[in-house]
Amino acid sequence: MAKVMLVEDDTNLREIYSARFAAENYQVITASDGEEALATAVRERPDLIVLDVMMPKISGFDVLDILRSTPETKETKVIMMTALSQDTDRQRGESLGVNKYLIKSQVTLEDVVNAVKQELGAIA
Amino acid sequence: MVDQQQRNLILLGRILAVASGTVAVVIFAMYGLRPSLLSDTGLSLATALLGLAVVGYFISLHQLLSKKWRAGSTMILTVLVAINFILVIISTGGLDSPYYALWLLAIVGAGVFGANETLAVLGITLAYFAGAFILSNGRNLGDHSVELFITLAAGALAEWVHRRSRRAAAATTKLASLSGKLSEEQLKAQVLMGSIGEGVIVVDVSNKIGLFNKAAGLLTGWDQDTAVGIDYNLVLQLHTADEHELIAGSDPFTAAITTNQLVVRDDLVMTTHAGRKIQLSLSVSPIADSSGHVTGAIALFRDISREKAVERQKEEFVSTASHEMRTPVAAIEGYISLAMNANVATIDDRAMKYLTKAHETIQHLGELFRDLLSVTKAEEGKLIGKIEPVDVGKLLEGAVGDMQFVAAKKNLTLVLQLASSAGKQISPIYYVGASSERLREVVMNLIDNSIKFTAEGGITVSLAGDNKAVEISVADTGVGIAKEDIPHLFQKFYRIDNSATRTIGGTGLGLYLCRTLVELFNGRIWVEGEPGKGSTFHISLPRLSEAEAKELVRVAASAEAASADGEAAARVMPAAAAVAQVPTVPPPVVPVTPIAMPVPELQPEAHKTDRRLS
Repeated sequence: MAKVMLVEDDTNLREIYSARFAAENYQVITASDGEEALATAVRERPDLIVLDVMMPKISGFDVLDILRSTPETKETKVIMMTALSQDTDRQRGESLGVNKYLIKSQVTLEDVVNAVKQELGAIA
Repeated sequence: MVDQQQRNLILLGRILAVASGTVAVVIFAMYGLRPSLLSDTGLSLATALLGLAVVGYFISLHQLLSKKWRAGSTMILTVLVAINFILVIISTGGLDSPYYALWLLAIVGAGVFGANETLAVLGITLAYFAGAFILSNGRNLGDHSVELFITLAAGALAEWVHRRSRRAAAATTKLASLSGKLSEEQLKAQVLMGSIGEGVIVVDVSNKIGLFNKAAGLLTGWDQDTAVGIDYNLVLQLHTADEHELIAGSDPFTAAITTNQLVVRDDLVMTTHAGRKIQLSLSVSPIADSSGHVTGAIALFRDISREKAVERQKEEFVSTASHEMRTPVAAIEGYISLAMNANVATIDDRAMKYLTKAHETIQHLGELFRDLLSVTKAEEGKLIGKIEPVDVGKLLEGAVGDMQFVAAKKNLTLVLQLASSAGKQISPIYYVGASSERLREVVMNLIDNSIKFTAEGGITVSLAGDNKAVEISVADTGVGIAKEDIPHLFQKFYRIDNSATRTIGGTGLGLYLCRTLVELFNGRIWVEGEPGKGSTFHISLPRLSEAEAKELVRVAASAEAASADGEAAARVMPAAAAVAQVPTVPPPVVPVTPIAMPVPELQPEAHKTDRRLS
């Protein structure tokens, strides 16, 4: 089964996404900040990472940057979740190699799940 | 009038005293040197003594009485001196006296001093005549009828002189009072100008400052006296908020003068004499003369830096608050969604029904915050990022593609019609200068609205254009719009108040934002339609030629390059810092150090096929 890593600092959202992904029969791993995310990603090698942008210490962009520069996680699918709706931020994500860039206020939980399915489906 | 009169009386008194004194002195001298000159010694001496008495009266009693009763005292003097003169005349031959002419002069002169004096003198003369007539039983009178006539004429002349001098005095007084009033008004104006809190500058058509009040001096840092007479551009250094110089034509003073209309601007920044920058609220009115010809302009301005700061704080607060609220909104949406998911939770039909409604509501709440945030950004001028050439056809394809799902949910059709002349397969590429993301949002908003207000049928999005403009239309077969709603449709918070549509929802901000954005892109947005017959929304944007599009890209790229270097450097740092801390976590499978090496390369990615993210 697919392994999905969730990087999100908000406790509620972590619980929600975990429950929802589990319902899709994904194996869910979580990280609550960027550092944990990087270490866990390298160790666990998830198929897809749902990555929050606004996090303390290091932002999602920086995490993505490092993920893409690390051989183990270079090809991992990444879906970025953000509250930032500026064009510049989307472009930044895309230039760093994000697979999907979702704006939190414009998508529902189901939309996120669909996006994950799409990306995972693309692998199979 | 009074002062003049008083002065006249004083003068008269002095003249009379001097005259009497002179007479007395002359007579005494004659008596002393050649008594034979005096025809009637006794009378002459009496006259001289009277003269002395007059002088004595003048020096003493007159001064005392003058304090309260100058007119009366002077009258007494006049009478005494008149008698004195009569005696002189009598003693030198009566009506044949050579000094009679002098007496006539005195009568005329009396006119200058006042009606009373004239009458007194005239009265005495006539009394004298009467006396002489009676005493000589009418004989002398016939011989002296000429003198009588001349005397009366002199009296008339005196009165005329009196009248003239009174009028002159009145005129002078009036002039003085007018002049006084003028100074008073001038003073009032000065005080007024000085107390007005706003800066006031008056300029003429040659841009010279004519008036510069105290507040203007305080605000600009220029000295009031120095500023008057020089070109206002030196004193009032204005530029726009983003540091751009005002284009010559858009200068508010020039605008007011040339268009003869009030110009109000609250977006300008002034640099003071000391170099400080102040945000101004400025209103300039043209000054026109009675024939309507503009002769200058008057500007009122005040410092609104504090107001602007407060406004900014408010906007920041709204922005932050809206932003903060989105996290709990996302959490609520997520939990409700989970509860409704059969794989995660088990609920009955009623719970499902209610949760569905709750889910819709929370989404609506999210939209509200989103719109609120957008409106705040719009007001801060931060709504759009880069302006770039946008391929409208491609943008519409993307928007229509993304909205298919929503239309399908209501069984509505959603088609895109790109302009193509009959027979031609390829339609021209239309470029406009805009922010592609925002323009996409606008189009999707219109499509979304159409879907909301259409029960059956479909929506057609079409694209057309000519050399100058590109037109996007979104037509639906929905309920249409009432005529009275049309003018208000694009206003903030306007919602169609119709029982049929109230349930549809919406924040009332959507079309306002659409309009704001379209206008930021120098375009127009409008709607056509009739109730029951569907509506069509149109957006018209200026078309960019190939050359203009290329130029826009070039300009944007150079600006980007300038900032990108700084950005890249900043990004390397946190990466290195983060990596340094990773080893503290339980040993990773792969050695950590290799991660530290590469500086992330920023290569502009080739366009991915699927960049249309929801």
